[in-house]
Amino acid sequence: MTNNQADYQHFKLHSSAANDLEIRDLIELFVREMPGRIKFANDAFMRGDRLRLQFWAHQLKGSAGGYGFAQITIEATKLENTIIRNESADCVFVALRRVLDLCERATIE
Amino acid sequence: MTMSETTESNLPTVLAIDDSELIHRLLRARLHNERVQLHTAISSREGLEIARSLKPDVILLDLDMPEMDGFKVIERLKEDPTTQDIAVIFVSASNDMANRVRGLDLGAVDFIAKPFDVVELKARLRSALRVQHLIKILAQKAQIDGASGLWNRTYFDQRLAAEISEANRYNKPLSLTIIDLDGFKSTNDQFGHLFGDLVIERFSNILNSGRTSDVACRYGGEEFSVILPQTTATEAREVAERWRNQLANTTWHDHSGLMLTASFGVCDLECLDFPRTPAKLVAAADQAMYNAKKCGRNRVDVFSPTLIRK
Ligand SMILES: [Mg+2]
Repeated sequence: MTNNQADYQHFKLHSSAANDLEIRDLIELFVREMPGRIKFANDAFMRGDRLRLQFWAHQLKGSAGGYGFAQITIEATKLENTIIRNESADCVFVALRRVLDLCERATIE
Repeated sequence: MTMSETTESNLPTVLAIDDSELIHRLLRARLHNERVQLHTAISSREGLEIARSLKPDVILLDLDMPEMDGFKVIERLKEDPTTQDIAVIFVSASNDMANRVRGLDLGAVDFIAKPFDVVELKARLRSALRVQHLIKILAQKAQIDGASGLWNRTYFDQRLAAEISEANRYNKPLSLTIIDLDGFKSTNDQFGHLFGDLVIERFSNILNSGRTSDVACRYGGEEFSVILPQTTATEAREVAERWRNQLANTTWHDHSGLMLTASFGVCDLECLDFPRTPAKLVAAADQAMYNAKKCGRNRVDVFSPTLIRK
């Protein structure tokens, strides 16, 4: 393992429900599906499709907390609000980056 | 049907309407060990369809959905008599006070914020199911006659109309028996009302102990009616003869030697001219019953069209 990878490990975002046997498998699936979710949001942003991005943020806001990722829910709510308030592309980009940063770090290990 | 299937089908049903598969998955896992049967719909349209066919006890309804939002869905549910009594719990990520109030005003029983807390979700769902269960019991009680434990007149009217339309549609036999206790008023006067109540109760038990498909009702004071689906007048006559015998042979504690009897009028749908309506069937069975009274009581008479001309 390189130093970079070791640093990255430190930033991993753990599910608070990781020990909840009822949904452990589901959290694993939720994390495994993350790359597709991230791509969906990036594509929507690149195309300037705010409605799709808003829909994406809304879905994540409603579900991430249920999988033990409360922080993702908080940042997704902020992203949704910037779109609802029709803020500039820069503002939306910053809010989106915050959500995606958490998404990329989400893990079950 | 196996034991577990029987139990499963008795479980309360819950329908989750939510456009997010992530939420479906969570609900399935979270409610897996609850004593409920969970169904899911991924769109408003699908949800409305399933609600109409499944008639679930509770609907967990997402507020934000494309095409038709949760507010529109609940409006549709409340407009439709087949779905208006289903308890609706809104589940929404928009934790907005105005939305909550609007949802409750539209007839929702509760509101759960997303992402939901498992303990809260289960508690609110259980509470809604408890209330639904009590409502069902009350609705049934309102259709049962207190003194006899039989169905009351309101239920009889509804049920007879339903059975007749079914028999007409599928060309199945259907009979109706109307019964009047003989000399009940003088029994009451002679032995008191408490004894009269006992007679009503005993005779109701006789009517109720028959075939499970028969629908026994208290028609009025000492008048009873039994709907016999899939039964011809000849068969209904045999059934009525058994009831007549049972009552006549009942021994009455404290009044040994007392014989109480009833007169029975039977009619089947076949005897009626078209259109075959509940009112005509009741009138014909009544006519047969009065004929039994006229001919000496304690007997079963079957309606025939010539009776009217007599
Ligand atoms: Mg939704």
